[in-house]
Amino acid sequence: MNLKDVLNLATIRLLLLVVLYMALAFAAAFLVERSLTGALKGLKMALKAEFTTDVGRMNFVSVFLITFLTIFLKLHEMVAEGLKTEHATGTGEPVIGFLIVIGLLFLGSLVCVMLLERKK
Amino acid sequence: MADDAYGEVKEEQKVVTVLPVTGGRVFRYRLGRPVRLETPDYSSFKATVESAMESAVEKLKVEIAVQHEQTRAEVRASRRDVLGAIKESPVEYVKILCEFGVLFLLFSLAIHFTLKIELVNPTFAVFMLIACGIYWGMARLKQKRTPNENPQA
Repeated sequence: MNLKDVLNLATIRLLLLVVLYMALAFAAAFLVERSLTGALKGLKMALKAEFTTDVGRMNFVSVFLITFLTIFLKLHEMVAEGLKTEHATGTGEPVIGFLIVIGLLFLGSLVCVMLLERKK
Repeated sequence: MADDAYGEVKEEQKVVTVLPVTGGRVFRYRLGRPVRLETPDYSSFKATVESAMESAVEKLKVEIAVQHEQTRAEVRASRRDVLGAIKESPVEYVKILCEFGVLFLLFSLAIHFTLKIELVNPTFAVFMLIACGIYWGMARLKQKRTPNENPQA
């Protein structure tokens, strides 16, 4: 397996992760709104509110700080190592494993903001 | 010749002599008249800057405190609403908890099988999927048995 193959594999894995996250975000929005159009609208509203409301900005800054601290203290490698299975391929795990955790934090923040904005 | 003499006179007039005077003061003699150098008033400048900074800091503190209180009030109101909703309809709470749990477990299983990254142990995930399904079914049964309960709460 040469470098080109490894890069291709890592890119495919990253794309797969993005697709899975989009599906998860949509499903979470669907659970909150209980309709397909409502889920799309809710996601759009949550993304907007994440950067415009105080609660959203606070959540976003917290996620950013956690990411920064984890990278600064070199904890991301440990996190990625802890998440790796026995049959891991070894391509891009340090990046993808860490991205999954941070993505979950960001998604949680989005759902919180969505719930708050929905109430208004 | 006349031009040269005029030039000498002009140069003589331009001479500036600085003489130290007792008490640390410095006088500059120019064109025969003493000119006193203006020493900047640093204490008043410092006081001005300090007062400006203090007022700016005070304004900032007030603004931060107001925003902080506003955010806290929002969070408090949301928490009160959530608690109220849970108290009013525990069935809905259990159902939504199970649904989010199932969603996360399915996501972790998908990550496990596609990316070989283990967010949750697969055996535990399958067990919890079944458990969440049972909890959800129980909540739905309870909801059907008591139709008077407000499902939107």
